[in-house]
Amino acid sequence: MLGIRLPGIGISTRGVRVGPRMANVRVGSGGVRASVGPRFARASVGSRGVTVGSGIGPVRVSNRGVQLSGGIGPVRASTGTSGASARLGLGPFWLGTSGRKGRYRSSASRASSQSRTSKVRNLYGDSRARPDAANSYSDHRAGLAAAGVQRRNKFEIHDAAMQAWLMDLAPLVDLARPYPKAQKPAVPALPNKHEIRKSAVTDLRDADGLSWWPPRRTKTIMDRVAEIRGELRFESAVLKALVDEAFARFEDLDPAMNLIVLQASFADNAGTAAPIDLDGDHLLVLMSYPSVDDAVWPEVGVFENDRFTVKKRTKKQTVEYYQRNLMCHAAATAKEAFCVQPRLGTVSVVVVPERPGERLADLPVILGARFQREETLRAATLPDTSWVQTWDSGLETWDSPDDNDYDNSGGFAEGFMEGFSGVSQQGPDPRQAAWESRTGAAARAVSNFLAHSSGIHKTANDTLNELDDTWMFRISNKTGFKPVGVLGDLVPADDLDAADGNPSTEGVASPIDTPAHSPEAVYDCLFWTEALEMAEAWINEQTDSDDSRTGGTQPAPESPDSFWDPFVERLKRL
Amino acid sequence: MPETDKLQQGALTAGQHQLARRIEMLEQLAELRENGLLSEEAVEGLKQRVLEDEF
Repeated sequence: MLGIRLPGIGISTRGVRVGPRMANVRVGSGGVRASVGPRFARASVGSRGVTVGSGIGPVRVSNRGVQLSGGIGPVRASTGTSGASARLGLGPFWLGTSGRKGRYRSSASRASSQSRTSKVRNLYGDSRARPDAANSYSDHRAGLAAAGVQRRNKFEIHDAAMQAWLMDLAPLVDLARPYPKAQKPAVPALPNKHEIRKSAVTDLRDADGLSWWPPRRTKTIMDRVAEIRGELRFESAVLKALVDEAFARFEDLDPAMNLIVLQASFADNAGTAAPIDLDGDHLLVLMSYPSVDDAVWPEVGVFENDRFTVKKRTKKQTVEYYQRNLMCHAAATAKEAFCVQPRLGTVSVVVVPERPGERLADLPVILGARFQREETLRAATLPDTSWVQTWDSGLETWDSPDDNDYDNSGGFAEGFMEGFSGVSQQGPDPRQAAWESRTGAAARAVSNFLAHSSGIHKTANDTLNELDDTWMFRISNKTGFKPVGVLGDLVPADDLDAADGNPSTEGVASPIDTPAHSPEAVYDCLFWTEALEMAEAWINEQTDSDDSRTGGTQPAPESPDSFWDPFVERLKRL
Repeated sequence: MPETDKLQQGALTAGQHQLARRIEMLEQLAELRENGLLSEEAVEGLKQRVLEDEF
């Protein structure tokens, strides 16, 4: 097999080969690119990577989740269906306290909580690695230099080694781990009679409607209780109907609903991925990825004798890991989409570099991939998933809250380092004990995890090397991949230019809190009602736009093969 | 006012209030239908439940 050899993983160069199926694809006469492009999408590249605006004003989908802008409040937004929003937007009051506050944080609370999360959590999100310039190795080194650290001590080296180890494993874990299918959430139960009575009394007292005469007072309260109960039952029934409708649209492959749900599912992904079009059962995902230096830790984390240490990674190894990681992330994104939406037949992933400010149509495509459901899931599924818990608990231990015990002094690590910066300690320092405890627990988790690592490596190997006619790339020894073409080859440049200049896509680097910022949101019935509103507004806007441009005719779905034609032809010539 | 008149007045007010609530619910359903958020079938089902005083 041609290809790159990595410890346990090989990436063949067959991705650049054009198999029989792709060689025989028909060349569409009707302007494939014009119709297969993101019918619903308005893509742009901002400071945080690829963002996709819906082009309907306040609503857009970005790589950071569904975003809503324009003075619409931190939790819920009107999408133009003002009547429904105004009345139902407040939601049943029994969801208004525990249900929402717990899950949907305001931007302010997000900012404050962000500072409390450790670097590992920042890097990996919900146990999934996210290569990020903000957490790059160079930043790590710069931080040490700023702190006056000339040479790392054993604790810093250990932490760096474990971070490097996690970053290397995370893309493989992302690919091998299972992803849940989207489920229709249940509407929460109504509050109990005591809560309703309490609310009734409060209402009446506020309205000065409580009589001092006990019999009348009791009757007034009971009447109000009955009224509130009726209102709640009505709201609950409406909520259920809305969730049913939203989920039915999702199951029926409604493009807008699916893009919103999938965007929420991708919200914590390592590679910044934005689903931008659904054409029949073919999903198109635009993904942006950092450069080699930002995506790969230039040290190798070596785990020996229950301890981590670092060794230098060569430039060649760095590039190879970059190639492997990017491909794993692309495949993991496709796998997640297939799992979330069982009716998807094909997922195409177009990867562009993170280059804010560059014209979208001119962005080089560094990797293209067209995943077919059956063969992708067959290659990327590991029957034994017991290791997932081990991995997650290991990360949790590594990222344990005792980091935050020293928030006032800059976090656990900094506080700990201060304690051991040459000042002799009287007796055992509790911070060292805490560090040892955390490190020991993490080491045990790592040891357990390593027992399963061969299966995880095999999954990655199969996915990267055994999928026919999936990958389109050209290898570069310096940057990982050479461009296969530009985004404008696949997506109509006019659409991209229009999206680039769309004022509604501004400000996407400052996401407003919405339910879709966490994949957990899809378990909440309110997510589905909001998604329904967004989808409906989106469809209406798109319909108006299409009517004005094409007289209301919808282009027929195009085959995934046709979509990739420009690259396939180019690679064949190469 | 005699006690019976008071009771009748109270019952009338309650009935009007109930009617107003039903109308409000039906209006909400009509809006949901108009906005395309609920299907005709779903709205019809909820409408029947409102008319049957289920809420």
